[in-house]
Amino acid sequence: MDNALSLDPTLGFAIGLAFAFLILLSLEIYNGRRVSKLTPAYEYAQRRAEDEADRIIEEARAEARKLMSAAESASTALARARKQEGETAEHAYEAALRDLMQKLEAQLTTSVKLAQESHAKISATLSSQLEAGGKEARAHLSESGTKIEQEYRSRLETELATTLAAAREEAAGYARARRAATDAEITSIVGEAMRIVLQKGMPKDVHADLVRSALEEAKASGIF
Amino acid sequence: MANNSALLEQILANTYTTSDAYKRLLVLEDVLQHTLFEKGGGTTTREQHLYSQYQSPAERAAAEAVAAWGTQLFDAFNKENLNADIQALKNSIEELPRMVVYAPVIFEAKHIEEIGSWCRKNIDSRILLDLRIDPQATGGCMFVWHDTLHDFSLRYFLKKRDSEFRKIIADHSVASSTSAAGAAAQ
Repeated sequence: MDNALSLDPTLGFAIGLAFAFLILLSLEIYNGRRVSKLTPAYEYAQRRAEDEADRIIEEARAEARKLMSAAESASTALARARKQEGETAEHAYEAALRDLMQKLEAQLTTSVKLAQESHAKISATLSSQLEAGGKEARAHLSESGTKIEQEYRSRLETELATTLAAAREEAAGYARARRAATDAEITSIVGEAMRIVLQKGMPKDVHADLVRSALEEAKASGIF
Repeated sequence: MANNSALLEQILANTYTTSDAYKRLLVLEDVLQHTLFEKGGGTTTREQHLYSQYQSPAERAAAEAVAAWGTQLFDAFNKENLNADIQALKNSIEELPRMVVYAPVIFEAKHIEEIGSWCRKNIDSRILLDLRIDPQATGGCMFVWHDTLHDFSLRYFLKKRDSEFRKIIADHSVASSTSAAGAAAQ
Protein backbone atom coordinates (compact mmCIF):
# COMPACT_ATOMS: atom_id res chain seq x y z
CA MET A 1 0.00 0.00 0.00
CA ASP A 2 2.74 2.35 0.99
CA ASN A 3 4.60 1.54 -2.28
CA ALA A 4 1.52 2.31 -4.39
CA LEU A 5 0.97 5.64 -2.65
CA SER A 6 4.58 6.60 -2.85
CA LEU A 7 4.53 6.83 -6.70
CA ASP A 8 7.07 9.11 -8.41
CA PRO A 9 5.48 12.53 -9.39
CA THR A 10 7.13 12.41 -12.83
CA LEU A 11 5.59 9.11 -13.59
CA GLY A 12 2.15 10.36 -12.48
CA PHE A 13 2.45 13.38 -14.76
CA ALA A 14 3.31 11.10 -17.72
CA ILE A 15 0.32 8.89 -17.09
CA GLY A 16 -2.01 11.92 -16.96
CA LEU A 17 -0.58 13.24 -20.18
CA ALA A 18 -1.14 9.92 -21.96
CA PHE A 19 -4.67 9.81 -20.73
CA ALA A 20 -5.43 13.29 -22.09
CA PHE A 21 -3.91 12.34 -25.43
CA LEU A 22 -6.29 9.37 -25.71
CA ILE A 23 -9.31 11.59 -25.02
CA LEU A 24 -8.29 14.06 -27.74
CA LEU A 25 -7.73 11.24 -30.21
CA SER A 26 -11.19 9.86 -29.64
CA LEU A 27 -12.77 13.32 -30.10
CA GLU A 28 -10.96 13.81 -33.39
CA ILE A 29 -12.14 10.53 -34.72
CA TYR A 30 -15.70 11.43 -33.81
CA ASN A 31 -15.55 14.82 -35.56
CA GLY A 32 -13.97 13.28 -38.66
CA ARG A 33 -16.86 10.94 -39.06
CA ARG A 34 -19.38 13.81 -38.77
CA VAL A 35 -17.59 16.03 -41.33
CA SER A 36 -17.35 13.24 -43.88
CA LYS A 37 -21.16 12.92 -43.63
CA LEU A 38 -21.69 16.76 -44.26
CA THR A 39 -19.18 17.41 -47.21
CA PRO A 40 -21.43 16.64 -50.28
CA ALA A 41 -24.15 19.08 -49.11
CA TYR A 42 -21.52 21.66 -48.45
CA GLU A 43 -19.96 21.25 -51.88
CA TYR A 44 -23.33 21.63 -53.57
CA ALA A 45 -24.19 24.77 -51.67
CA GLN A 46 -20.82 26.17 -52.53
CA ARG A 47 -21.27 25.49 -56.22
CA ARG A 48 -24.69 27.14 -56.20
CA ALA A 49 -23.31 30.19 -54.52
CA GLU A 50 -20.47 30.47 -57.05
CA ASP A 51 -22.88 30.26 -59.96
CA GLU A 52 -25.05 32.96 -58.45
CA ALA A 53 -22.04 35.16 -57.89
CA ASP A 54 -20.85 34.69 -61.49
CA ARG A 55 -24.24 35.70 -62.76
CA ILE A 56 -24.39 38.79 -60.63
CA ILE A 57 -20.90 39.81 -61.75
CA GLU A 58 -21.81 39.35 -65.40
CA GLU A 59 -24.88 41.47 -65.01
CA ALA A 60 -22.85 44.15 -63.28
CA ARG A 61 -20.32 44.09 -66.07
CA ALA A 62 -22.99 44.56 -68.69
CA GLU A 63 -24.51 47.39 -66.72
CA ALA A 64 -21.10 49.02 -66.32
CA ARG A 65 -20.44 48.74 -70.02
CA LYS A 66 -23.71 50.45 -70.74
CA LEU A 67 -22.95 53.23 -68.28
CA MET A 68 -19.46 53.72 -69.63
CA SER A 69 -20.74 53.88 -73.18
CA ALA A 70 -23.34 56.47 -72.24
CA ALA A 71 -20.78 58.46 -70.29
CA GLU A 72 -18.34 58.40 -73.17
CA SER A 73 -20.99 59.64 -75.57
CA ALA A 74 -21.95 62.38 -73.17
CA SER A 75 -18.35 63.41 -72.60
CA THR A 76 -17.61 63.46 -76.30
CA ALA A 77 -20.62 65.68 -76.89
CA LEU A 78 -19.63 67.93 -74.04
CA ALA A 79 -16.05 68.18 -75.30
CA ARG A 80 -17.26 69.06 -78.72
CA ALA A 81 -19.51 71.74 -77.31
CA ARG A 82 -16.63 73.17 -75.21
CA LYS A 83 -14.35 73.17 -78.22
CA GLN A 84 -16.87 75.08 -80.24
CA GLU A 85 -17.34 77.55 -77.41
CA GLY A 86 -13.54 78.04 -77.17
CA GLU A 87 -13.18 78.63 -80.85
CA THR A 88 -15.98 81.15 -80.75
CA ALA A 89 -14.40 82.99 -77.80
CA GLU A 90 -11.03 83.02 -79.53
CA HIS A 91 -12.50 84.58 -82.60
CA ALA A 92 -14.22 87.21 -80.51
CA TYR A 93 -10.98 87.99 -78.61
CA GLU A 94 -9.02 88.34 -81.83
CA ALA A 95 -11.63 90.65 -83.25
CA ALA A 96 -11.66 92.77 -80.11
CA LEU A 97 -7.84 92.90 -80.04
CA ARG A 98 -7.68 93.90 -83.64
CA ASP A 99 -10.19 96.63 -82.99
CA LEU A 100 -8.23 97.86 -79.96
CA MET A 101 -4.98 97.88 -81.92
CA GLN A 102 -6.56 99.92 -84.65
CA LYS A 103 -7.85 102.39 -82.11
CA LEU A 104 -4.45 102.66 -80.39
CA GLU A 105 -2.72 103.10 -83.71
CA ALA A 106 -5.10 105.90 -84.59
CA GLN A 107 -4.53 107.59 -81.23
CA LEU A 108 -0.77 107.24 -81.54
CA THR A 109 -0.82 108.79 -84.97
CA THR A 110 -2.82 111.67 -83.59
CA SER A 111 -0.45 112.11 -80.65
CA VAL A 112 2.59 112.07 -82.92
CA LYS A 113 1.06 114.66 -85.10
CA LEU A 114 0.24 116.83 -82.07
CA ALA A 115 3.77 116.38 -80.70
CA GLN A 116 5.30 117.37 -83.99
CA GLU A 117 3.16 120.45 -84.10
CA SER A 118 4.10 121.36 -80.48
CA HIS A 119 7.76 120.75 -81.22
CA ALA A 120 7.60 122.99 -84.22
CA LYS A 121 5.94 125.71 -82.16
CA ILE A 122 8.47 125.41 -79.30
CA SER A 123 11.37 125.43 -81.76
CA ALA A 124 10.06 128.52 -83.36
CA THR A 125 9.58 130.23 -79.98
CA LEU A 126 13.00 129.20 -78.73
CA SER A 127 14.67 130.32 -81.93
CA SER A 128 13.12 133.73 -81.63
CA GLN A 129 14.02 133.99 -77.93
CA LEU A 130 17.58 132.76 -78.51
CA GLU A 131 18.06 135.22 -81.27
CA ALA A 132 16.97 138.07 -79.01
CA GLY A 133 19.07 136.78 -76.06
CA GLY A 134 22.11 136.27 -78.26
CA LYS A 135 22.09 139.88 -79.31
CA GLU A 136 21.88 140.96 -75.70
CA ALA A 137 24.59 138.51 -74.61
CA ARG A 138 26.93 139.68 -77.35
CA ALA A 139 26.46 143.25 -76.25
CA HIS A 140 27.02 142.34 -72.60
CA LEU A 141 30.06 140.25 -73.46
CA SER A 142 31.59 143.04 -75.43
CA GLU A 143 30.98 145.48 -72.59
CA SER A 144 32.41 143.07 -69.99
CA GLY A 145 35.47 142.43 -72.15
CA THR A 146 36.16 146.13 -72.38
CA LYS A 147 35.77 146.54 -68.62
CA ILE A 148 38.03 143.57 -67.84
CA GLU A 149 40.65 144.81 -70.26
CA GLN A 150 40.63 148.23 -68.67
CA GLU A 151 40.77 146.81 -65.14
CA TYR A 152 43.53 144.37 -66.07
CA ARG A 153 45.53 147.12 -67.69
CA SER A 154 45.11 149.34 -64.64
CA ARG A 155 46.09 146.53 -62.28
CA LEU A 156 49.06 145.60 -64.43
CA GLU A 157 50.26 149.19 -64.43
CA THR A 158 49.89 149.33 -60.63
CA GLU A 159 51.71 146.03 -60.20
CA LEU A 160 54.50 147.14 -62.49
CA ALA A 161 54.84 150.43 -60.66
CA THR A 162 54.96 148.64 -57.29
CA THR A 163 57.48 146.09 -58.51
CA LEU A 164 59.61 148.82 -60.04
CA ALA A 165 59.51 150.83 -56.80
CA ALA A 166 60.40 147.73 -54.77
CA ALA A 167 63.28 146.96 -57.15
CA ARG A 168 64.52 150.54 -56.88
CA GLU A 169 64.22 150.40 -53.10
CA GLU A 170 66.06 147.08 -53.01
CA ALA A 171 68.80 148.44 -55.24
CA ALA A 172 69.08 151.54 -53.05
CA GLY A 173 69.19 149.35 -49.93
CA TYR A 174 71.85 147.18 -51.50
CA ALA A 175 73.86 150.26 -52.43
CA ARG A 176 73.48 151.60 -48.88
CA ALA A 177 74.52 148.28 -47.40
CA ARG A 178 77.49 148.00 -49.71
CA ARG A 179 78.50 151.56 -48.93
CA ALA A 180 78.17 150.91 -45.21
CA ALA A 181 80.19 147.71 -45.53
CA THR A 182 82.86 149.55 -47.51
CA ASP A 183 82.92 152.37 -44.96
CA ALA A 184 83.21 149.89 -42.11
CA GLU A 185 86.01 148.13 -43.94
CA ILE A 186 87.83 151.42 -44.58
CA THR A 187 87.41 152.45 -40.94
CA SER A 188 88.71 149.07 -39.87
CA ILE A 189 91.74 149.41 -42.16
CA VAL A 190 92.43 152.93 -40.91
CA GLY A 191 92.07 151.73 -37.31
CA GLU A 192 94.43 148.82 -37.86
CA ALA A 193 96.96 151.09 -39.57
CA MET A 194 96.70 153.57 -36.74
CA ARG A 195 97.02 150.81 -34.15
CA ILE A 196 100.23 149.56 -35.76
CA VAL A 197 101.64 153.05 -36.08
CA LEU A 198 100.56 154.21 -32.63
CA GLN A 199 101.64 151.14 -30.72
CA LYS A 200 105.06 151.08 -32.23
CA GLY A 201 105.84 154.75 -32.47
CA MET A 202 103.76 156.74 -30.02
CA PRO A 203 105.33 157.79 -26.68
CA LYS A 204 103.64 156.77 -23.46
CA ASP A 205 103.00 160.40 -22.62
CA VAL A 206 100.71 160.61 -25.62
CA HIS A 207 99.02 157.36 -24.61
CA ALA A 208 98.46 158.77 -21.14
CA ASP A 209 97.02 161.93 -22.68
CA LEU A 210 94.73 159.80 -24.85
CA VAL A 211 93.54 157.87 -21.79
CA ARG A 212 92.84 161.10 -19.98
CA SER A 213 91.02 162.44 -23.05
CA ALA A 214 88.97 159.27 -23.17
CA LEU A 215 88.05 159.63 -19.51
CA GLU A 216 87.12 163.27 -20.07
CA GLU A 217 84.96 162.19 -23.00
CA ALA A 218 83.31 159.63 -20.74
CA LYS A 219 82.72 162.26 -18.09
CA ALA A 220 81.20 164.56 -20.71
CA SER A 221 78.94 161.66 -21.69
CA GLY A 222 77.66 161.55 -18.11
CA ILE A 223 79.05 158.13 -17.22
CA PHE A 224 80.60 159.23 -13.91
CA MET B 1 93.79 150.96 15.48
CA ALA B 2 92.10 154.25 16.31
CA ASN B 3 92.80 156.25 13.17
CA ASN B 4 92.45 153.77 10.34
CA SER B 5 90.86 156.32 8.04
CA ALA B 6 93.74 158.77 8.46
CA LEU B 7 96.26 156.04 7.70
CA LEU B 8 94.31 155.03 4.63
CA GLU B 9 94.26 158.63 3.44
CA GLN B 10 98.00 158.80 3.93
CA ILE B 11 98.48 155.60 1.90
CA LEU B 12 96.19 156.81 -0.86
CA ALA B 13 98.11 160.07 -1.15
CA ASN B 14 100.71 158.44 -3.40
CA THR B 15 98.92 155.18 -4.31
CA TYR B 16 96.58 155.09 -7.27
CA THR B 17 96.28 151.42 -8.23
CA THR B 18 95.11 148.34 -6.37
CA SER B 19 98.26 146.40 -7.25
CA ASP B 20 100.43 149.17 -5.79
CA ALA B 21 98.27 149.35 -2.69
CA TYR B 22 98.57 145.62 -1.93
CA LYS B 23 102.26 145.53 -2.84
CA ARG B 24 103.05 148.51 -0.59
CA LEU B 25 101.03 147.07 2.28
CA LEU B 26 103.16 143.92 2.07
CA VAL B 27 106.31 146.05 2.13
CA LEU B 28 104.94 148.02 5.11
CA GLU B 29 104.10 144.82 6.96
CA ASP B 30 107.58 143.44 6.27
CA VAL B 31 109.29 146.60 7.48
CA LEU B 32 107.12 146.80 10.60
CA GLN B 33 107.79 143.16 11.48
CA HIS B 34 111.50 143.82 11.06
CA THR B 35 111.31 146.98 13.16
CA LEU B 36 109.10 145.63 15.92
CA PHE B 37 110.28 142.06 16.28
CA GLU B 38 114.04 142.24 15.55
CA LYS B 39 116.74 143.53 17.83
CA GLY B 40 117.91 147.07 17.29
CA GLY B 41 114.80 148.13 15.30
CA GLY B 42 114.49 151.90 14.88
CA THR B 43 114.11 154.69 12.40
CA THR B 44 117.55 154.29 10.89
CA THR B 45 117.24 150.52 10.81
CA ARG B 46 113.80 150.81 9.14
CA GLU B 47 115.05 152.89 6.19
CA GLN B 48 118.16 150.74 5.88
CA HIS B 49 115.99 147.68 5.74
CA LEU B 50 113.75 149.19 3.06
CA TYR B 51 116.55 150.13 0.72
CA SER B 52 118.60 147.02 1.36
CA GLN B 53 115.74 144.56 0.89
CA TYR B 54 114.01 146.13 -2.15
CA GLN B 55 116.59 146.89 -4.79
CA SER B 56 115.03 146.15 -8.17
CA PRO B 57 113.46 149.22 -9.89
CA ALA B 58 109.89 148.08 -9.24
CA GLU B 59 110.64 147.14 -5.64
CA ARG B 60 112.60 150.31 -5.12
CA ALA B 61 109.58 152.37 -6.28
CA ALA B 62 107.39 150.56 -3.76
CA ALA B 63 109.97 151.06 -1.01
CA GLU B 64 110.23 154.76 -1.79
CA ALA B 65 106.47 155.14 -1.74
CA VAL B 66 106.26 153.40 1.65
CA ALA B 67 109.09 155.56 2.99
CA ALA B 68 107.24 158.63 1.81
CA TRP B 69 104.29 157.75 4.08
CA GLY B 70 106.49 159.08 6.97
CA THR B 71 107.39 158.03 10.47
CA GLN B 72 103.98 158.98 11.84
CA LEU B 73 102.39 156.10 9.98
CA PHE B 74 104.98 153.61 11.13
CA ASP B 75 104.61 154.74 14.74
CA ALA B 76 100.90 154.00 14.68
CA PHE B 77 101.63 150.25 14.76
CA ASN B 78 102.89 148.23 17.72
CA LYS B 79 103.57 144.58 18.43
CA GLU B 80 100.07 143.90 19.73
CA ASN B 81 98.02 145.38 16.91
CA LEU B 82 100.26 144.88 13.87
CA ASN B 83 98.50 141.93 12.23
CA ALA B 84 95.00 143.15 13.03
CA ASP B 85 95.71 146.67 11.77
CA ILE B 86 97.34 145.51 8.55
CA GLN B 87 94.34 143.25 7.93
CA ALA B 88 92.00 146.17 8.68
CA LEU B 89 93.87 148.30 6.13
CA LYS B 90 93.57 145.51 3.53
CA ASN B 91 89.86 145.28 4.19
CA SER B 92 89.50 149.03 3.86
CA ILE B 93 91.30 148.93 0.52
CA GLU B 94 88.95 146.16 -0.61
CA GLU B 95 86.02 148.44 0.09
CA LEU B 96 87.35 151.43 -1.84
CA PRO B 97 85.71 152.30 -5.18
CA ARG B 98 87.72 150.94 -8.05
CA MET B 99 87.71 151.24 -11.81
CA VAL B 100 89.22 148.68 -14.18
CA VAL B 101 91.02 150.48 -17.00
CA TYR B 102 92.18 148.71 -20.19
CA ALA B 103 95.02 150.63 -21.85
CA PRO B 104 97.29 149.60 -24.77
CA VAL B 105 100.62 150.13 -22.92
CA ILE B 106 102.13 149.75 -19.47
CA PHE B 107 102.25 153.22 -17.99
CA GLU B 108 105.06 154.65 -15.91
CA ALA B 109 104.48 155.91 -12.38
CA LYS B 110 104.14 159.55 -13.41
CA HIS B 111 101.46 158.67 -15.98
CA ILE B 112 99.59 156.56 -13.42
CA GLU B 113 99.78 159.48 -11.01
CA GLU B 114 98.38 161.84 -13.68
CA ILE B 115 95.52 159.54 -14.57
CA GLY B 116 94.86 158.64 -10.94
CA SER B 117 94.81 162.28 -9.90
CA TRP B 118 92.38 163.07 -12.64
CA CYS B 119 90.12 160.24 -11.48
CA ARG B 120 90.35 161.32 -7.83
CA LYS B 121 89.45 164.84 -8.85
CA ASN B 122 86.67 164.01 -11.29
CA ILE B 123 85.23 160.67 -10.19
CA ASP B 124 85.89 159.79 -6.55
CA SER B 125 88.46 161.19 -4.12
CA ARG B 126 89.37 157.66 -2.87
CA ILE B 127 89.19 155.73 -6.15
CA LEU B 128 91.75 153.06 -7.00
CA LEU B 129 92.55 152.01 -10.55
CA ASP B 130 92.95 148.42 -11.69
CA LEU B 131 95.17 148.87 -14.76
CA ARG B 132 95.21 146.13 -17.38
CA ILE B 133 96.86 145.85 -20.78
CA ASP B 134 94.79 145.49 -23.98
CA PRO B 135 96.80 146.06 -27.19
CA GLN B 136 93.56 146.08 -29.23
CA ALA B 137 92.55 149.30 -27.50
CA THR B 138 95.22 151.01 -29.70
CA GLY B 139 94.68 154.40 -28.10
CA GLY B 140 92.51 155.85 -25.38
CA CYS B 141 91.08 153.25 -23.03
CA MET B 142 88.19 151.03 -22.10
CA PHE B 143 87.07 150.91 -18.51
CA VAL B 144 84.64 149.09 -16.28
CA TRP B 145 82.68 151.32 -13.97
CA HIS B 146 79.84 150.03 -11.85
CA ASP B 147 79.91 146.65 -13.58
CA THR B 148 79.55 148.15 -17.07
CA LEU B 149 82.23 148.17 -19.76
CA HIS B 150 82.63 151.50 -21.56
CA ASP B 151 84.67 151.62 -24.75
CA PHE B 152 86.48 154.93 -25.23
CA SER B 153 89.38 153.45 -27.12
CA LEU B 154 90.55 154.49 -30.58
CA ARG B 155 87.74 152.32 -32.01
CA TYR B 156 85.26 154.61 -30.32
CA PHE B 157 86.92 157.75 -31.63
CA LEU B 158 87.18 156.27 -35.12
CA LYS B 159 83.51 155.47 -35.05
CA LYS B 160 82.76 158.94 -33.78
CA ARG B 161 84.70 160.53 -36.64
CA ASP B 162 83.56 157.98 -39.17
CA SER B 163 81.93 160.58 -41.42
CA GLU B 164 85.14 162.62 -41.56
CA PHE B 165 87.10 159.54 -42.65
CA ARG B 166 84.57 158.77 -45.31
CA LYS B 167 84.64 162.33 -46.59
CA ILE B 168 88.45 162.28 -46.78
CA ILE B 169 88.40 158.99 -48.64
CA ALA B 170 85.64 160.14 -50.98
CA ASP B 171 87.51 163.36 -51.77
CA HIS B 172 90.66 161.37 -52.35
CA SER B 173 88.82 158.99 -54.71
CA VAL B 174 87.34 161.86 -56.72
CA ALA B 175 90.71 163.60 -56.97
CA SER B 176 92.40 160.36 -58.06
CA SER B 177 89.81 159.61 -60.76
CA THR B 178 89.97 163.24 -62.08
CA SER B 179 93.75 163.18 -62.33
CA ALA B 180 93.62 159.78 -63.97
CA ALA B 181 91.09 161.04 -66.54
CA GLY B 182 93.24 164.11 -67.23
CA ALA B 183 96.30 161.98 -67.75
CA ALA B 184 94.37 159.73 -70.12
CA ALA B 185 93.14 162.74 -72.13
CA GLN B 186 96.70 164.01 -72.57
